[in-house]
Amino acid sequence: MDIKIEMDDDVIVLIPEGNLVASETEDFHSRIEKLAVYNVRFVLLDMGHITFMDSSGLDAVMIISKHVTDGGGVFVCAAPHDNVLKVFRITWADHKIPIAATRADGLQMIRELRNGHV
Amino acid sequence: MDERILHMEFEAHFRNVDIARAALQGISAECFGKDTERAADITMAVNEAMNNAVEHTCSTTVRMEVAWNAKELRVFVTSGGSPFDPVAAAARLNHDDMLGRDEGGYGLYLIRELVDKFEYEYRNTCNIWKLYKRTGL
Repeated sequence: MDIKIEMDDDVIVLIPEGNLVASETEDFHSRIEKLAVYNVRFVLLDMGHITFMDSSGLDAVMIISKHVTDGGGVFVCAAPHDNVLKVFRITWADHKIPIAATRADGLQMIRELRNGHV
Repeated sequence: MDERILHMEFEAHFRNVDIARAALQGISAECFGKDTERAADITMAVNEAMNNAVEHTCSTTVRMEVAWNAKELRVFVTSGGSPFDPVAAAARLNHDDMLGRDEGGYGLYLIRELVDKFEYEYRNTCNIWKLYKRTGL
């Protein structure tokens, strides 16, 4: 799985591409775990290039979210396709992870949420 | 439309689940046409059933049997191993369970919510998960 990583001020933006499914989650985890070294506090997961996500992919997202928020940070998902958003909704994960319609909205959401954290 | 059938048997590996899912996506597209949401629903549910077979049953192979006609698409996912009734397990889940968990256990809930009918049979030391979606809406 290709994962582009960009910085927007002090927000790290993860941009995975392809299917976030069981066959990809191990690689996804190992790539993301390396980021922990840098004590990342503000993370936006841009899901605009994820075409399919199963429950293993959702688990992977939940683990990142927990890692970031347990460390006092803010984690937001952005721009999920309808089928990906449906997975969040059915499992009620959208009640645990903030989801924005676009990357710009996601960055704005992080700015607003971090005010409660810093 | 006569009934058509596809059988696939594959080594229990997540990469092979990807291939089986791709085949099912093609069939679902044919069955549901412009109703891409229902096509995606059954594809997701079967994907979860196959993942479970690979991850939890210790079976060396997984079999996916797809049959479709003008009324329904049905998919049976078969793997070896000890009996496990996913229908009963899924029935016990509710939205409080979903809200309370950080990770894991979403697959059964997804299947339950995405198919029209979900059945289970244990036969000849095999678990058979039976998933149905109506095509003739």
